[in-house]
Amino acid sequence: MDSGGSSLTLLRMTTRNLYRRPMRTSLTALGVAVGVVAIVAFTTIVRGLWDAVDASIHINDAELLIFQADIAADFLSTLDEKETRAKLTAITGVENAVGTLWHALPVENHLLFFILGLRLEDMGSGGDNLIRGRYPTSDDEVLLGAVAQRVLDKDVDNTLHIRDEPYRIVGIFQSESVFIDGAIVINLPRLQRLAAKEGSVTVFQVHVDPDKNADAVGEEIERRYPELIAVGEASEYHKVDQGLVAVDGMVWAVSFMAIVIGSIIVANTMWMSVLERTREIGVLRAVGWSRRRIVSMIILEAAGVGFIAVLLGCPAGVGLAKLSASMPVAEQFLEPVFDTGPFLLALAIAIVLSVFGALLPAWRAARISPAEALRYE
Amino acid sequence: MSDNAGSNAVVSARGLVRYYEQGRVHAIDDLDFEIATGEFIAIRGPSGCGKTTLLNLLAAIDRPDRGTLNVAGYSLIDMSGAEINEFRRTVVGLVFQLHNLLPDLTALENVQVPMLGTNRSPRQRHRRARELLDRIGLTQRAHALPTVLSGGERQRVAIARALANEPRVLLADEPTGALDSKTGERLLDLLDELQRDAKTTLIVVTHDPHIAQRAGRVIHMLDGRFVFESDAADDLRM
Ligand SMILES: Nc1ncnc2c1ncn2[C@@H]1O[C@H](COP(=O)(O)OP(=O)(O)OP(=O)(O)O)[C@@H](O)[C@H]1O
Ligand SMILES: [Mg+2]
Repeated sequence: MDSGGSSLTLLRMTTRNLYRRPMRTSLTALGVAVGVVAIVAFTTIVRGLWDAVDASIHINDAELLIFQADIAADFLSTLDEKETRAKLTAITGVENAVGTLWHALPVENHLLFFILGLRLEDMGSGGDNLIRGRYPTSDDEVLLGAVAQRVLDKDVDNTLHIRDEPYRIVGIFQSESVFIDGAIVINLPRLQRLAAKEGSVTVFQVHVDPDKNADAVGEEIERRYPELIAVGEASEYHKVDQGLVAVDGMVWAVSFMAIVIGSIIVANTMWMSVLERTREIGVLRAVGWSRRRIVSMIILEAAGVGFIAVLLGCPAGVGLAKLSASMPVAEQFLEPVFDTGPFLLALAIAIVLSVFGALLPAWRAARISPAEALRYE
Repeated sequence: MSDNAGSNAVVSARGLVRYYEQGRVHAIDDLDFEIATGEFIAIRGPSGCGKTTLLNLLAAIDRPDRGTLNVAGYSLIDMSGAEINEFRRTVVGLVFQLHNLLPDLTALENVQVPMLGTNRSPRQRHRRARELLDRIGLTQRAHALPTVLSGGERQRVAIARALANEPRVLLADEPTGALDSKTGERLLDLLDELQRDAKTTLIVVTHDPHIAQRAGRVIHMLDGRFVFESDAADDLRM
């Protein structure tokens, strides 16, 4: 008890002040926590999207995805299968090119399902992702990704109906990409007929010679064929689709809103707290506390509120992200990634917005004149 | 103006003026005085005569409009912000009419408040606060919050806080005003004793003639001026 441990420090005064009005502190922290929840939920989901896009690009160990140039969204890419394969294999460094048709259809009682068309001989080329069963050998046999298998609640040897036609499930695969794992894989000519896109594919997966640089090969493809676009990583995906960019923009918009609203909440609380403590602050000034120390005290208190908000908001944000990703449709392509990034971002934003919100009240506190403050009972 | 004043004056004022309300209220009206180191001064006078204003000027929490005021070598007219803070922290100790302790801090912590920002370590601050509480007889109440302390105990803690940084001048504004006369007497015993031990200059505003009688000098104020001075014995005879 008589140790330095019970010495008075600014930090101790801060915790005492926060503890003085537990309800007010909690409610303010809760207000800020709403922003933290949104930031954590959004950023973990968006991280998942980026990771999934990156994994989709490198599916089956491909180095490049080739799309049609000048398209508004990846799904709208249409390439002539034969012609494009010929173009690509003519480039030195291209080991092989696998055409894939992307399509989306209602399947069973699900509104929307991702369907991938691959030639039977291309299935399993480059990497073996099969976890059960075998590869299809005919038009009416399909593979299910692990996520699709879970969502449809079907397994090997079950029958699946697409546009009222029955297909036999012969295998289940698992890749690194939740997008691909949410898909049903069928023979390419069959999907071309279903989608009325005979002879077309959406994209080519390109495997590059191990002794060649994939970026250079991609550049060469784009130079030789301006009608094609090569994507080697998620950060280049904006060349064919604005989705990720738009979602990223939304995260920033949400973060910005969280900052503005949180700052206002903190500013309101701290302003009231300063007015309420005018006399106390006057006493502190009268016994020689500098303005800077008063300002530090107010800002530390606000930062404390931000810190509590992070403690409350992070678990809730994780919960919200998991809940969102388990909703119908969303579960087929969302898989939040909980690494430290989103939490550090939320911590930084919560502290910064709290401190920002405390600036005006702190300035008010610094202006309190001790003689005036002490006159009023 | 006083025999007690001399080269060892710790306070000296010349033409000291403090007006309020655009000059309509003459709270301090052209005062000249000196106070010697170690004196015990009582200030008396009717409500509104400027006693608190005078203490505020001496404590550098208010600034004079005119005149010069020197306390312990500091000229209070032209100090920088940093000097003002240092002066308030180290030269003067303040005891207010109401204790003005911070309600969320224990007695021990309240005494440490003025020591934050000094070059004492947290451990030294803690030890010093302990010593002071021992001296005012509140060892047992060190961890009590002001709300559970009695009025007299709170004022004693306030005195300990005022003494934290070993001030040269202790200023007290009706320290016994909120106390019953017996508790007030004991508080004054304490102030007296502390002042004699530490050679601190003690300036106490009071309405209570029993308190004034302990002082070496009693200054009577009216409308911002000193009307007369007496020594304690005279004062009791009046
Ligand atoms: N900030 C202020 N603004 C306006 N007038 C003030 C201010 N401070 C003091 N006064 C006026 O100055 C005069 C002296 O006030 P002061 O508080 O010094 O009196 P006092 O002698 O301490 O009275 P009391 O015994 O009631 O405490 C009063 O008329 C008061 O109304
Ligand atoms: Mg007064």
